[in-house]
Amino acid sequence: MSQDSLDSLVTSENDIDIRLDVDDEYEQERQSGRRRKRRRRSGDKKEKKKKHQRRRSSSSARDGREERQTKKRESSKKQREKHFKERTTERNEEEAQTSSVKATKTNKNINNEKTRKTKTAERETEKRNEKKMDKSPKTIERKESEGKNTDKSKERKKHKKVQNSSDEEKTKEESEEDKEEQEELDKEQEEVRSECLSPEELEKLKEAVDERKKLIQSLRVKPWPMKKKLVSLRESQEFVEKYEGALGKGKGRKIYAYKVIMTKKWMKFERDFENFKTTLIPWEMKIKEIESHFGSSVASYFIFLRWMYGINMILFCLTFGLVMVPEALMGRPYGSIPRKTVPRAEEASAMDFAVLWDFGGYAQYSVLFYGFYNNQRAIGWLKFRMPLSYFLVGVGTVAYSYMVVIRTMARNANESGIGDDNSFNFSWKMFTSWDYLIGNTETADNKFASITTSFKEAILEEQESRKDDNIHLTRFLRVLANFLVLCCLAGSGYLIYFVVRRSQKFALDGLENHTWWERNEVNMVMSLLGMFCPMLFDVISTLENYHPRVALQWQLGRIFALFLGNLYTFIIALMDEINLKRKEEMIVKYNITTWENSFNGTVSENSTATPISLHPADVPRGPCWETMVGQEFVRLIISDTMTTYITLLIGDFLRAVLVRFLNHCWCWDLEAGFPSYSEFDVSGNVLGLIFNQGMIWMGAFYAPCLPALNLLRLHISMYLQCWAVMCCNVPQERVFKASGSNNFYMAMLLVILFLSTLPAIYTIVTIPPSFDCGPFSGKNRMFDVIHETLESDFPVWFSKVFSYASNPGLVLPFILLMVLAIYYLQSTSKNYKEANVKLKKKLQMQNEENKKKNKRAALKAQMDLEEARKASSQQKHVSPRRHQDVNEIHCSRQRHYYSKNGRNPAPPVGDRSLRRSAPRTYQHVNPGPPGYLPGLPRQSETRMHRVPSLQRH
Amino acid sequence: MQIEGMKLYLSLMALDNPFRQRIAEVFSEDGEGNMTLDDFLDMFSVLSEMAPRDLKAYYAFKIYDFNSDDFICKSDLEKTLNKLTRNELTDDEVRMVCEKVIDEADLDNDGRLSLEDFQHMIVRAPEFLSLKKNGFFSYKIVLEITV
Repeated sequence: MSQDSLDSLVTSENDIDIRLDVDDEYEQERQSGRRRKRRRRSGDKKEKKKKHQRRRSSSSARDGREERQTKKRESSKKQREKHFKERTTERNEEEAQTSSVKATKTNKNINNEKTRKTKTAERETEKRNEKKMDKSPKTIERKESEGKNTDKSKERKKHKKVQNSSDEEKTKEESEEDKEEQEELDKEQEEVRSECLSPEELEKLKEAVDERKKLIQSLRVKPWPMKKKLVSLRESQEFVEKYEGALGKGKGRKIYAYKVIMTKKWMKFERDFENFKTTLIPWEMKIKEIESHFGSSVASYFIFLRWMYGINMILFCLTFGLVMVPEALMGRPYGSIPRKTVPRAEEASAMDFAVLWDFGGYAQYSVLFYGFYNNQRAIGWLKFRMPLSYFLVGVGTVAYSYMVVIRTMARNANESGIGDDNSFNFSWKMFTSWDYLIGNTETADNKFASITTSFKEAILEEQESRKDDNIHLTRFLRVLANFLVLCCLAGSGYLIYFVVRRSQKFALDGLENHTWWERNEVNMVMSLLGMFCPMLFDVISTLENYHPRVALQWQLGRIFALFLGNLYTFIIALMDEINLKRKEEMIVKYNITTWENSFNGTVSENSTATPISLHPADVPRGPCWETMVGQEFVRLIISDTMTTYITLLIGDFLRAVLVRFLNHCWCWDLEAGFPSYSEFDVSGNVLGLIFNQGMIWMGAFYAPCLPALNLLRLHISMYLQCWAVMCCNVPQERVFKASGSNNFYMAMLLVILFLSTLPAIYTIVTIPPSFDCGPFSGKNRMFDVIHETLESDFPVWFSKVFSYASNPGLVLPFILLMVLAIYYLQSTSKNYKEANVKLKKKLQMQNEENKKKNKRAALKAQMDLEEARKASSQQKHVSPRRHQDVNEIHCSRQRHYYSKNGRNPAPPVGDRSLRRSAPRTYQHVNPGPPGYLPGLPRQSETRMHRVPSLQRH
Repeated sequence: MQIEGMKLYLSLMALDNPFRQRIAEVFSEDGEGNMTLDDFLDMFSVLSEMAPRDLKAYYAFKIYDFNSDDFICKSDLEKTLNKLTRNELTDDEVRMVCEKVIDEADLDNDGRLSLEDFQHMIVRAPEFLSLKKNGFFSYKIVLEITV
């Protein structure tokens, strides 16, 4: 609030005072009497109850103070009397500190009254009390008690007066306290005065109090120096207390202080908690650092990697906790049965590193693979249902993955649906991006980098949105690019098909008859394609002239399509191998049965001989295709990981080192020229991650160790890649903002998940398990384990219910219902989405409209102002201040003031230049005169809050 | 309070703070950066997280108003931007950003930002809206260092 508004408040206060001071003295008397009565009354009650003791003591203290005040007043009264006699002009100087104006104006009245006072005091008081009865409830209460206590008060008064005269000198000695006392005295007087107001005055007073209260509340918002704040706070607090009474204030203040402290503590706690939460997020700092230097697109890869890590953690926990550990702890130990022993032929080399590295030997006959598990229905003292658990975990991992991926996608879609308000994108970046708490250099460097990066991202977005090229040319180029890419894909697809066919023929012939190239043709072709096609796509995509983010998505999609070929060949090769193994198994099975039959025959012939106990290692056994599949996947993962790390070390690190240190002694600038430093390849890395995960999903059923391996791999690659990015990559030339959600990655992951569960489900459902290895051996199909459990572990009625429920007559309608529900939900969501988009558009339009309107209004106001100036320069009438106000005010209000201004024309030209040079400051900074804008007092205060109204217009 | 205050002060006056000089200037009475105890207290009262937003916005405006003409004009914006990015943007980019800022935030179309414009814009900033990381001009979670 500005100074002049304060002034106006003060003046209004004075107005009231003038009218009131007439009855001042009597009121004072009455008041003190009332106080005493009240005290006594309360005293009676409090003698009974201890808990009110505090207030009692305070009230008595107040009484004491009051007495002193009355003395004081007496003395001042005497002084005034003296002055009156002398009729000097300076009579008010003693009181000038606080209420000089008041005092001057009221002195006469007081003096007149004084003579009458002693005689009529009591009568007057009673009369007034009767009068005031209807004005406030307090007075009614007072009056009730008055009758009883009049005598007492009379006595007191007399007593006081005697005292007063004797204490006069003493009070003079206490001149240091004078000021305070004076203030308190004033307070008392005003308090009294509030009792004898006419309704309008009361209204006014109320307003004034409200004003002060408002000031106290809004004081924190005022940009004043501390001193000024303190002074005005004190002033207005006193003012309010005068009129509101100090009753219960102390308690309220305490509660307020307590509240403030608690909110402070709470905020601190929240901050700490937030900090704590941030530290709990793994690798958050690393990723943030990368983001600040390389932009959000690179960071999005690492965030995706972290998300993958989380998923794999869950998968690992499932397989490790429910399959591997129970089998290792409670299952039969190694060497007890054939499937848990290394066969005699492999025993010699079973511990070799080369074999173990290939996950053969002892690694193959361990909990890591499917074949190790026994088909015993329940193991250990817990009666743990091992085969059932194995099956359910296999199904559960896939189901969980589906759920998580879809849920994440849905959530991301939700987030992107809301969208962020970009109306002040650049301004916010400019004014709010610096963190004023950064105290260390490294953090500050990161922050600078991040701000620069974010600006670059924003600039790129802006440029892209502005770009409008020849639309026909762009379209043509895009079609051409897609055509080229399709050709590439088709060509590589055919190449893969051709090579796979050839390799199958070679396999039938027997691999030994062929050269090294012919044997490894498929792998070589695959990796060559994987190496060169992405580059080709990259070149082609420059034709398209897409936004880099869109370009990245296209690139991802194309390489994805290419890699699908990879997947396809891998699956085909695997199926071939499974078929081969199954044929082998058939033969072995036949041999074993014939051998057993013959053996049994011999046993039965000479029954005296004891059955020969074969060592488990010597027992003939089938090839166990499940373990083979698991091994295959594990090997693939290992080799894939190795290639990734090695290419990272050679392609990035070595290159960076060479470029860095050979630059001094090379003929051209290596850093700026050809090899340069590498950029981080987002698309390649993301796809690597996705396909790797697909392998995990496919193979996890046959090799329970796969999630663990993957977890290790992700963990290492997190650190390795973070390090590599920070130390040997350079940021992309065009840093672009990643889309808020990684939904594109997620979509690809979902496709891969689907594609990888298909073969797994196919093998589980259609191919009978090996007869002598794994938890399902001896069963016709793997899922028979469910039937078995239902029959033997559940009550009869349950299996009955289950068989009814699985009846096609029930299942089909259910599926139909689900389809209907899906259709319904989908269509409603589509509608909602449309409505959302429409609303968003509307909102945007509205915003723009508002902005335009504002600008138009501002323009018009400016023109009006010019006109006014012209007009005013003709009539040289001085009222500079008012004109300045007009200058300050925008919007619709301006016209209103302008009309006023027309009547009171603006200052001469010379004045205007002065006005212009003076900065346009706020009124509180540059206090105006008290008479500032009479029609609308405290204009400056509304200024602070006018912004919203500005929008409304 | 003392420890937090010292921390805040140290980070405010750390060499890396691009607005170090401006903060001192704005809060000092003489405008030269020489602070009295009162100025110092003023500064803390504004920067503490209990301080109301409007107050913060007002002082933020003063800080960004380098030439103290009560408007944030283009030169102020350029200065701010160059301080924030350590002169890493090209001139074109700087010009573009400044134009965008004025285009976004200037409501009365006078080509510069007044306090009203500034407040209108700043109170809508996400940093301002969320209480949790009221990072603008006050204690912020130190860990959340970027973006």
